[in-house]
Amino acid sequence: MIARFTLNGTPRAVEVAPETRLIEVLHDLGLTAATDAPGCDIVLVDDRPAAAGLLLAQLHDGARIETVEGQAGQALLRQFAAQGAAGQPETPALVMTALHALRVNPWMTEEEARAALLGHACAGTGHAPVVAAMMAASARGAEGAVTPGPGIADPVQAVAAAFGWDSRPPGGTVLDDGGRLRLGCAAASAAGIALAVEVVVDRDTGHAALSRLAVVPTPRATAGVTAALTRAAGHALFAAPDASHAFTLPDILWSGQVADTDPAAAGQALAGAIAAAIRDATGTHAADLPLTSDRILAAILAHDPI
Amino acid sequence: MRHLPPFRLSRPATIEEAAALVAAGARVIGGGASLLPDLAEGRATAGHLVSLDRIPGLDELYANPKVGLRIGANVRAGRLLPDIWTGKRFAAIHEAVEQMDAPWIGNSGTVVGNLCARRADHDMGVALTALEGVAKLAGGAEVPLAAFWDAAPDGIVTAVHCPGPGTDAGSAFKKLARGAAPRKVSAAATVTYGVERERILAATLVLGGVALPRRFPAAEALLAGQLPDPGLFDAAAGLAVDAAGLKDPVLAAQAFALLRDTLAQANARALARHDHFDDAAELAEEQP
Repeated sequence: MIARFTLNGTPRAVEVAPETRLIEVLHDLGLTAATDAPGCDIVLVDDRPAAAGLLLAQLHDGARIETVEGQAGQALLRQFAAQGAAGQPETPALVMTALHALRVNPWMTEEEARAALLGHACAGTGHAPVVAAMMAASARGAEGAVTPGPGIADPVQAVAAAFGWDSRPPGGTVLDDGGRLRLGCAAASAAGIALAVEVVVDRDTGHAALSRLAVVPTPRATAGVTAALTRAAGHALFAAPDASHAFTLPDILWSGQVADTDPAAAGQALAGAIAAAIRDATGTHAADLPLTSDRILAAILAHDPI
Repeated sequence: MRHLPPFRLSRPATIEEAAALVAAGARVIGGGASLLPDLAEGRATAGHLVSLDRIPGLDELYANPKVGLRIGANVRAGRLLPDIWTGKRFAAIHEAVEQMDAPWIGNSGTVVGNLCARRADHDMGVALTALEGVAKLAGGAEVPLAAFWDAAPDGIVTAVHCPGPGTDAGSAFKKLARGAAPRKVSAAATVTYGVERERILAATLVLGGVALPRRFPAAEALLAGQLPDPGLFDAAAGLAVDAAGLKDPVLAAQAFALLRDTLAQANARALARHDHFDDAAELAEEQP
């Protein structure tokens, strides 16, 4: 059959047999950097790292494929070379793993960069230069950056900038004289949606409230997503989902358009983002949902006894 | 990897068509992460592969502490990781996916494919057996995973369902990866408390890696009705290791430690469910 792929942004149609693997298609088309060895064959398939040597081409007809060749001249590849992380058989795979991690989390820390490399041997160089290259190509780095992926991180970044989060001290912004009210923020992304939340936490009572929420969904999915977000916020902050009537979502800052938005994924992403924002505000985290004021206060007291 | 030998590849639109092809000798391919290397190296042969990827309804992933966990045949393992309820109340399978040797495999390999490969060094089956998973077959038959490992069922596995955990229940998965089977050791356990939250109501204990996943009824029976205690977990792990009949003393010692620690972790999680806030809420309901 003729299979169609978008290879590094260019549509291609190729004749593939049932037993043709994706790595063989790439090699036939001259994209030979990724080799057919375990851990060296990683490319991005529909935005996620996958082993091209273990994929049947016919089963991925229509997929969007990115390989290291598409990164030529980009910051990440330059930094791999500059930090001494390049030149190994595994390098093309490492670059694609790093690219995916940076698109999802452009503000990653060194710890997160190391975690993103789990499963990679980093033979010949060790992990350190690869982590250094990732940090240099991240939004924290001097060169500042991997371009965030479509529908993944760019709205998060845009919203973060709009909220003024980039010039904010760690451990929550103090909102009042006594340091009782703290503002925390977090961003999250899930299939087809990116969102950013801001919470205000009262350190004396443990009460947390959503103050701002920004979402990038599809226009046609808006109603379902709003309902899912309301439910998720109810689950995250109150004992019973019914309690969601006890508050209203802050006005949502809608922006942009992305492909498909799954309301369930949106709700899960919001619950996680709320928990992360509360952690940001308090410097600690409660272990269990819902994040009721009792639990938040218990976590604050355990972390920082009066 | 070597080139794959030629085969036919079918992508039927209904489970009935797929079942007919399988009855005629075709073999199901999930993500291919296990099967393709086996075909390339000649460890498996297949003249005709059937992919379920065009059959609607097999991509369900649903986790709810009251309803249970449902994983359709087309669900790729990586999809479990961001799911909140899977992580919180079905921790064993979350940990098994999280600890996959090559994380990117989770973006292509399916959970059901991992089970159906029937390989000792595959982890999903260990965790799902401890969670008392049931394989759902095309046509409606069901096979508890504990029995699934005794003999491969006839027909296509369309999903795996696990029952919801009790209110005060916890699970855990751990592994020691020392290369391929049988040097690898993995274990999973669940611990459930009764309503009085003092004594263990029930427990499951599974060992894998050294062989296909296996439950240990005697060890599980020893735990039921007991107060939690490190000595109790030692005794249960010891019973399981004896029953497993591991000849290599190093492997036996590793299995013992892993079983004991997995039980202790599942127990800690079950006890962590004991939440004073829940007590207060229940009290408020009882005394309006």
